[in-house]
Amino acid sequence: MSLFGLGGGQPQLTSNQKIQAAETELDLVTDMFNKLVDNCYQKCINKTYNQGELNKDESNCLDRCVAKYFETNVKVGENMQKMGQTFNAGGKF
Amino acid sequence: MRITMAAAAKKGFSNPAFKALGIPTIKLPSRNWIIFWSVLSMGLSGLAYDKYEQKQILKKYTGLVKPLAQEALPVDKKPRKITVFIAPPPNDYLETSLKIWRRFIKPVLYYSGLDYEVVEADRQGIIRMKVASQLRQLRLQMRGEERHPDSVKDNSKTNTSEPAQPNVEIEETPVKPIAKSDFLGVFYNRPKEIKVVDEDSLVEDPRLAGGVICIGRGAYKEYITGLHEGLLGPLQEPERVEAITDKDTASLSSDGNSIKDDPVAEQQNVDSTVTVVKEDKKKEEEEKQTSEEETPEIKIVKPYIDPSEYPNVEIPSELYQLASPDGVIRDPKTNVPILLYQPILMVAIPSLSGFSNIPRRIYRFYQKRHFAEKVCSETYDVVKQEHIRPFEAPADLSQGEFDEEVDWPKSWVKQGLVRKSEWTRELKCDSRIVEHMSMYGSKPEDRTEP
Repeated sequence: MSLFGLGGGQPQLTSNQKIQAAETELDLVTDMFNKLVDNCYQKCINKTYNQGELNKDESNCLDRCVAKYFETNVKVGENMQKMGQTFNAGGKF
Repeated sequence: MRITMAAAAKKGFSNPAFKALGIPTIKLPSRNWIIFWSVLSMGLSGLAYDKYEQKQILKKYTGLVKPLAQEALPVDKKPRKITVFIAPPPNDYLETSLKIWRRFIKPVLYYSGLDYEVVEADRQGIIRMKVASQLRQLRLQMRGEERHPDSVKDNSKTNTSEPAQPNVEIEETPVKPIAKSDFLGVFYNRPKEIKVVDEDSLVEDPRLAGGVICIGRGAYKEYITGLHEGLLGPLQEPERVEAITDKDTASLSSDGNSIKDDPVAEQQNVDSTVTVVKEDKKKEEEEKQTSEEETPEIKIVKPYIDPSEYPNVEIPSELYQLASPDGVIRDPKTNVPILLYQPILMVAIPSLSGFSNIPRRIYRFYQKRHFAEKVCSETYDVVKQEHIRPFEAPADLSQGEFDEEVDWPKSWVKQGLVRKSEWTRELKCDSRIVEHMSMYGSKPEDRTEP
């Protein structure tokens, strides 16, 4: 950021940087998805494996689990962003 | 001296062996202590017993219901969904009604493997507004389809009960648009996308689809008015030109009840197309009517139709199924019968307030197990769907009136009447709507008995 508001705006990203950004984002999404699947599996699926198919109990549980996980994820993300912004603003003069 | 000693010795129980061991004389405590301990232990044990019984009741019903959740559910199906409307008792917080939901109703639904959607209302009018606007949306959709008959083809299954549709007769194999996923790349070997179907849309009898639970007499009243408003009322908000109501608002806003100026709400008002001052005034009044003064997130819209106008209104053309007793309106998207057809369970909230009611309240506090038994068994009925009966117009409208409404605080009711509250108004219905409704449980006469 410039001192007098000159040369503002975001610096131009090279295609290499863009690819890197996309990769990190994909990593994040994949990571989240894996965690979600793992958590909901641990929580909801009966470990005795009596049935090949999901029963009502399990499918309901999975449904709620996924919904909750996404919601929490979004909320936490929003809050973190807010915190990051205030932190940045606080550090700047 | 000797006599008193002897008397003292008589009172307690002792033994040389005890004395040798250093155990003092065992004797009853004084009269006052006995009274104190017995009152205390009676109070606590009564409570403990009641709680224990409640737990047993809950255990019994969840146990009865648990095998139902063990049934397999294919991945492309959604389970039956119960809609729950929760309203607080007057002059009380929502938490009171939520407690009933959480303690006695939710566990039974949860263990039976049913899905549920909870609509909480912390203010009057929210439930009515939600139900009505949902129905209006649906009507708008249906109206759109009527204008473009091509789109009806997709839902030809929905309209089979209606023979007058010429489009239904022509059975064309619809030309599927070619998607690249049919033959290209990684999609080619993949299984095709699964379409998820609601279980509710597959039942033949619309009364077996879904279900509605209203917790609180207020929720019940609002739900029924909401149904009427959504189905019979106009689709657009009518202009109100009544001078009388305006005067009322004026007098009400000057009655000393502070209106919290809410900048967000005001801005919304400015933003919205309706910027008439009169409208704003009304909205302010609506906000004021609410018991809580927190920032309202949802704006309560006044009803589009007054209950006294029900008989004068024609059934809207898009709801032609309402005219015949067997016609079923289904949601065009999900094919689930709309809320109107889903049977209702009304759960009265026992809430007493006031100083003179304290003995009754104590009595009820120790008898909660009976309430638990009643609510649990009714919820079990909802799950099993064995006792469903048609809605009986005058009798069922007063459901919960004698369990709950008679106990509503008098001053609150008086205030509500002045402010034209939706809860204190008499509940009205229209026979054209009511004939499609149904209730869970046995006859109303049997249910109102204590």
